[in-house]
Amino acid sequence: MTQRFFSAQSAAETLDSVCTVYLGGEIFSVRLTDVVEVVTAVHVQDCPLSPAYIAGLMHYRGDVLTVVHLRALLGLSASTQAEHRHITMVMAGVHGLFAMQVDDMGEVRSLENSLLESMPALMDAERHSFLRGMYKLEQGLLPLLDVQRLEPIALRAWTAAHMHEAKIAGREESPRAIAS
Amino acid sequence: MQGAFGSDMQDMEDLVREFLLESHEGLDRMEQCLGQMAQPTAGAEPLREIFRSVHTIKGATGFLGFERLERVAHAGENLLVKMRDGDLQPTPARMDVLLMLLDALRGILQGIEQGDGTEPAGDDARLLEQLAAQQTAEIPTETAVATAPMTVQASAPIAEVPIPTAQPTEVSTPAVVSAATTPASAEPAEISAAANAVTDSTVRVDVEVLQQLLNLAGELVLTRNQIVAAAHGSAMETLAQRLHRVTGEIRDAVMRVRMQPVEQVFARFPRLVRELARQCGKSVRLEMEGQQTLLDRSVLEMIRDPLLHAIRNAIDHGIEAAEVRASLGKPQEGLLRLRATSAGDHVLIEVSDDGGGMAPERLRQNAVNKGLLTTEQAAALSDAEARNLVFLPGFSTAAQVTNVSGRGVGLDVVRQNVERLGGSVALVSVEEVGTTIRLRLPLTLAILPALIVRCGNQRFAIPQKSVEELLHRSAAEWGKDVECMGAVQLLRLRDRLLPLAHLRVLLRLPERKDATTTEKFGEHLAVINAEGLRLGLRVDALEGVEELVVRPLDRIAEADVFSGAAQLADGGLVLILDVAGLASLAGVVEAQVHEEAAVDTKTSTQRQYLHVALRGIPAAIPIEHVEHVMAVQAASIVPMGGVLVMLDGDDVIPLLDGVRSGRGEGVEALRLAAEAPAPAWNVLFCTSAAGRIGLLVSAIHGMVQAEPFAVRNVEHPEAPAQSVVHLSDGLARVICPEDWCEFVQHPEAWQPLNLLQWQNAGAEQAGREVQE
Repeated sequence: MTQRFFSAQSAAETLDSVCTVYLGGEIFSVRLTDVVEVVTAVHVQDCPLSPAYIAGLMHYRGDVLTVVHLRALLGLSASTQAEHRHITMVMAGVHGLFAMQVDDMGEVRSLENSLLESMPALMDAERHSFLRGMYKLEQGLLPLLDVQRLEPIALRAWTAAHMHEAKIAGREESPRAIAS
Repeated sequence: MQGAFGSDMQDMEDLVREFLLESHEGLDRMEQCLGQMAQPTAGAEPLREIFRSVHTIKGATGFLGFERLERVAHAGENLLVKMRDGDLQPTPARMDVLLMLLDALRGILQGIEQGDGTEPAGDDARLLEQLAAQQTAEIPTETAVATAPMTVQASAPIAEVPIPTAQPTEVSTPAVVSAATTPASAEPAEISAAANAVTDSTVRVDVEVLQQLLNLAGELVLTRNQIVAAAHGSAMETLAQRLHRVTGEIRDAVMRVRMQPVEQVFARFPRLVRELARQCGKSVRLEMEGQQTLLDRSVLEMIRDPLLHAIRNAIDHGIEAAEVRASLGKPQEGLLRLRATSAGDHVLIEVSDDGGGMAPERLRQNAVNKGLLTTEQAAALSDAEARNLVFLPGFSTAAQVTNVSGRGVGLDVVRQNVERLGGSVALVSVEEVGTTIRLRLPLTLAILPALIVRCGNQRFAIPQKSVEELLHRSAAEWGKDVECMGAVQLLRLRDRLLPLAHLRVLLRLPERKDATTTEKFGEHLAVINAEGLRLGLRVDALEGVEELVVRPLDRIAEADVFSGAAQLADGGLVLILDVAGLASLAGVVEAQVHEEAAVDTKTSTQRQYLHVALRGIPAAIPIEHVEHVMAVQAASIVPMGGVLVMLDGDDVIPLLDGVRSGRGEGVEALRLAAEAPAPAWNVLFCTSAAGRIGLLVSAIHGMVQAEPFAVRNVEHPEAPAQSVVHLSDGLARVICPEDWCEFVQHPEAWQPLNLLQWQNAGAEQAGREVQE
């Protein structure tokens, strides 16, 4: 059980602080160190001629950030739950700030990093490339998103590489069934 | 050479860095001062400054253990102290030795920078010898001039300038010369080109500006706190206004921090001119004006090369050899003038020479010889167009190709670089009188005036410099003027065909539901010009011009159609359109340029004007002065000292109606405006070297090509107009914004005069001119 590691005597370096996010009815997590700020009620401006996984652009402290539509990127369909807050998270990428949209945020948890296991090769290849690994928790598996690969600049390269197999632009219209 | 470090190198690193930074700055000042000393008006101050720079370096070297640097600096100091005390005169030979000293010091510093804090090896014996030799007052100066300069020159402190063919003795032994000189004095060529890594990453800031910035930031925080506290109160409006003012001032102060005098670039030119003139075997005097004109640092860095090219060009091609000048009755010494002036949101830099000018016939011939044009094409060019040939890549006019210039790279690069900055280059040349190259540069790259257009439910910005004109066509006119060729729509605009594209289609924006809008409101078009490619861009609505603070953007769109994004005054976000990207997306091709050139060749002395009406009276404004048109609310115009003014950003713009703008008349105009049913006036913003003005136009008819006729012998003190143009529907007077700026600034110089009298007299006179 991970709860006891919350106490002060635990060695901080063995703990990952993560924050859980909901996307199309599934649960994911991101490392807290990658999150700069969580903003609600932000106006996201469309960017014409951009792929479907780009929600648009937003203004953030004098800068213009690209907003990644995470659900579209991971090929998940819209959640049936109506009460989602549609949260925009400002993230610190290697090449600068960017933002990503999630359906909702859950809680902040500290997890023993030995619980993190890298992705099994059998996983869905597309989703696989955006995940850093899985935390094996008692309640089930918690996938950890790889923020470096979600950066717009990385996505651009990824799009170019996968253009022929994944019809990214058309994916929103034909959502796949969710395997959970 | 070994420095005193070893074990404590880590601790010394910061000290060395600081030393390098200071020393580079000192040497830059030294270079500026050496340039100033060449001016006849220079006093003793430059020399003292040089002494201080060298002395400071020497002082620090002992402590840091740079032995070689110390030796060189010490020898230099010995000479300088005698010159400072007036024991020795600054002869050309001594100046040359000082330049060598500068190069040597720079070379060693550069070596230290690259060598992680250790001095580069090198032999300074020759320099030390010369420094010592110059300290003897009785040294025969003439011999020194003959020998010393040649050595300096052979070690070529100017980047990219090989040894000229004009001096064969030097060319024959270049290897020997460079081997004979010390590495330290051979290095500077690379140094001046590669600039110093340490100094370029830092900015010296005026303490006063920083203090002001700090105060403003404090005030901003205070105001914000008050706003938070008073969020519900009625004081909100006043506070918001204050916040607005403070933030505006902060922005300006921050901009000023980035501003630097052009002197920083000019400083290297006196020396460059000396060297170039010597290489070309000409005698050239350099005059510089407006060194204190401020420019954004980023712009400043990018104009160094264009200016260098222009100067080389002037010395090598422009100024004639002394014998030729003498035979023409010109002073033997050629004059090269560098002049910087600020004009509104632009800075003008002129490089002029009093040389031979450009003979259009020779230019035509040259273009044919180089295979750039056919004989027929060349013959069809007007003189003005022939002069513009020099901007073609691969064009060189030097009768004899030298190594200084004439290698076919030059003015085309100047133009390219300046245009990349959003500026423009103009060339004026009169045969046997001289040539002026004028660079028009934006004050800053950080702020972009842009036209805001609407398409669907989104707004986009088009850089103002790419917008040629704005058009509106009613549904009926639209049907008449637009032709379809396959999928391409073409608009007939003043006898030319303009390809059209709809922004909505290009950007694949959703179709609007109310498809009947064209019938109701007509079509709005922005004619954009992307490096010669013209395109009529259809949009849903034109919203006006706004100054944008450009923000970079991730490249997320599949085509390169957006160059950045910005926040609008109302908080909304706009994407800035890249016109070149749009044009290529729309499939506009180069062919159009040729067609345009062909059309232009017919209009020899004609110029382009914007045809407007001022109080119903036709007028023509040279297109290069026209900035943009804006509808201004009557409420935001106020009379001030008899002239109407309005605020545009932070600029106070005098508004004129081109007719009766004398004292007291403005108030009358305002009263009329208040009574007028129209709540807004059309203001045409014009720029000129003397400042900006706004013209209250009652109608805009469009662009015209016409030939100006000078008006003489007509007293027209109230409404200055030096020329008129003949248009298809009658005469229109030419409004020169510069005259009107002066008029506003010195209204007492002008006497009121009956307008009709003037008009009739002017028209008659012009009629006579036309007949002549």
